Amino acid sequence: MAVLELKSLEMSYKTQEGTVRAIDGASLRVEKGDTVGIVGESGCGKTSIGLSILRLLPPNATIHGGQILFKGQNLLSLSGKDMRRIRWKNISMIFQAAMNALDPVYRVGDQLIEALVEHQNLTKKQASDKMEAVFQLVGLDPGRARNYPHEYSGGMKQRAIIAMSLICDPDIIIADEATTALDVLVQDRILASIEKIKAEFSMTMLYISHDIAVISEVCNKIAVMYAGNIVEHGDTMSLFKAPLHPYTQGLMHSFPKIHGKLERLEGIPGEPPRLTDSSPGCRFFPRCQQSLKKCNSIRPEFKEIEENHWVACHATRRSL
Amino acid sequence: MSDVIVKTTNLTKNFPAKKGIFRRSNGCIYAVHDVNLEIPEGKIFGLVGESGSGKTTIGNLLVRLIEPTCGRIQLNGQDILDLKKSEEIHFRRKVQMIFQDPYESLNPRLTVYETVAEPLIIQEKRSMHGNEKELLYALESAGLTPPQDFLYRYPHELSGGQRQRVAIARALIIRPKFVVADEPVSMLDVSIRVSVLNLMLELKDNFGLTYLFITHDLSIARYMCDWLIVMYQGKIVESGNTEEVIQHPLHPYTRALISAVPIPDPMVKRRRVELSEAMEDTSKPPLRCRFYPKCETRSPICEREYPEFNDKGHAHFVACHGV
Repeated sequence: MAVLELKSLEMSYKTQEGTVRAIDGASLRVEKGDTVGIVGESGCGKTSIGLSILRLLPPNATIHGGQILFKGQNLLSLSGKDMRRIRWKNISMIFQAAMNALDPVYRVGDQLIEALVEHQNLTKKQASDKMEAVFQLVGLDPGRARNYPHEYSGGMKQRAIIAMSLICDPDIIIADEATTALDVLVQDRILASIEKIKAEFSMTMLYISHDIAVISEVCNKIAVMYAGNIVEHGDTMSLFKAPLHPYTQGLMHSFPKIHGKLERLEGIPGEPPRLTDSSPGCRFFPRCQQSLKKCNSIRPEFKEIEENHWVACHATRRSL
Repeated sequence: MSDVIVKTTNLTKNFPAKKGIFRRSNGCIYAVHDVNLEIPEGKIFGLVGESGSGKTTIGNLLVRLIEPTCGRIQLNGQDILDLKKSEEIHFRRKVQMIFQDPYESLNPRLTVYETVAEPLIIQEKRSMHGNEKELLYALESAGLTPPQDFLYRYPHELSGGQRQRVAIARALIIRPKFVVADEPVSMLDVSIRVSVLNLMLELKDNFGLTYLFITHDLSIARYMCDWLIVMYQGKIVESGNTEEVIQHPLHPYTRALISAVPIPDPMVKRRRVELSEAMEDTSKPPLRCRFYPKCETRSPICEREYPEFNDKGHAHFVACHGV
């Protein structure tokens, strides 16, 4: 059984400009021990997926279709109280604005202990020992547990946030742009810690990022999102070797490389669509250079084109 | 080698550091220290480094948004720091800037027409009306097509990429010689970035521009720049031809920086250079090498004196005792 499974999830935000269809039928499976990356541009709905899973959406958002199955149980049908039990204990999250995710008036160590006491019925002493162990695991000096967040550097705060997500031994961690605002050297150290934790506990993760390079290093499977849809999903190797969706292909040609031959990049023409406009066809159609006649009117199905390689595109031929 | 368009000599900028509840000034932060640059005309000159390395400060100094603590800046051989008021307007005409955040660098109350026409009104004492022809040309050059559709729009009606193109059109309409671009694509979406970078490359050739291209992203620096300068805590640690610096980095900091860039290829396993988290205090003048606390190849001399900036052949300069 998959640890986490999304079945044609649909979610929208009500805004002044109209209804924004942020997630428009997304399906995804995360098996135990997998690190699945969700890659896409800002506004493609990748953060909304994370927030939907934890049911932490803002009041103007509604989930109006699909299922989110956690070990076979539909999270969308749980009461608020039951959801609160699962949140953090079973599914935890590393948030995007890590700098602001710590409470400035509590000592960092106490914030971790609070989560433990809340969810795991430990004594103060047991909780404190556990906190120190997790501190060491993410590369923080346990002696700094009595410091306040403002006494930490950006990289240390990010480590504290990762420690926080690990503290209750969750079944799955959702990491949303965990290293985005950090300098490249700090990012690298955080990535090293994440890889270590993954290897040691065979941790299951959903790793959300706009940076395909980071995703390719951390994840063994990748889902590519565009305008609220998952357009391609497969294991990292085959997705990189032979990307099938035109958007994925364009994305691969949008990142300059630090090694190898220097070549002119083409990027992707045009701009992402407004999610308030609803069109019956493929969302990528206006920017696609391989489009067919029917792409403008019929939304392509999300199909398994090769083994474990799913694509939503009319122009991609089935080879199974 | 082509002519030098911008030259700095011992450029230094200290910011006062305020501490304590009364915000009393005690000491200062050495943001940029003793920087000597020679930017060749017609080239893209890259400035890379982490946040706090002083790269934005140098950009702001070169366009005179801030004044240096000491040192000299020359543009085409003329010292720009002691210009008369009447000469200053000519300087501003030659030097323009493209900022990082197109959501903040455009006035939300001005239409695209008013924004892009503003330099003409100030520089050439024109009236607001009757500049359509030049504006259309500038917008079209910046890739906003068809240009007449954009003239009377407000920034909130434009996407991030379009806003940055408006900022580029505004910088180019008075035909500058030297453009400082401070992280021009870091706020843009991934799929839009490349098209803005390609546009900047095209405009360089069409308008005969020289860029100072400030970025934290080494991959983008490699894509754009002819020359590269690596900064660390207010000091230049390495400079040279871009390919030379990236393929054969000499300074231990540059080597660590390049090894930390994630590679978008699952077949390649990257070798990590682990650095200590210790940091030099930037409120002290750089008497010893700034990289000393992190450096793995340090020796006693590194603590005694700041390393000189030496040519290691092929115009590849590095400031390190160990090289």
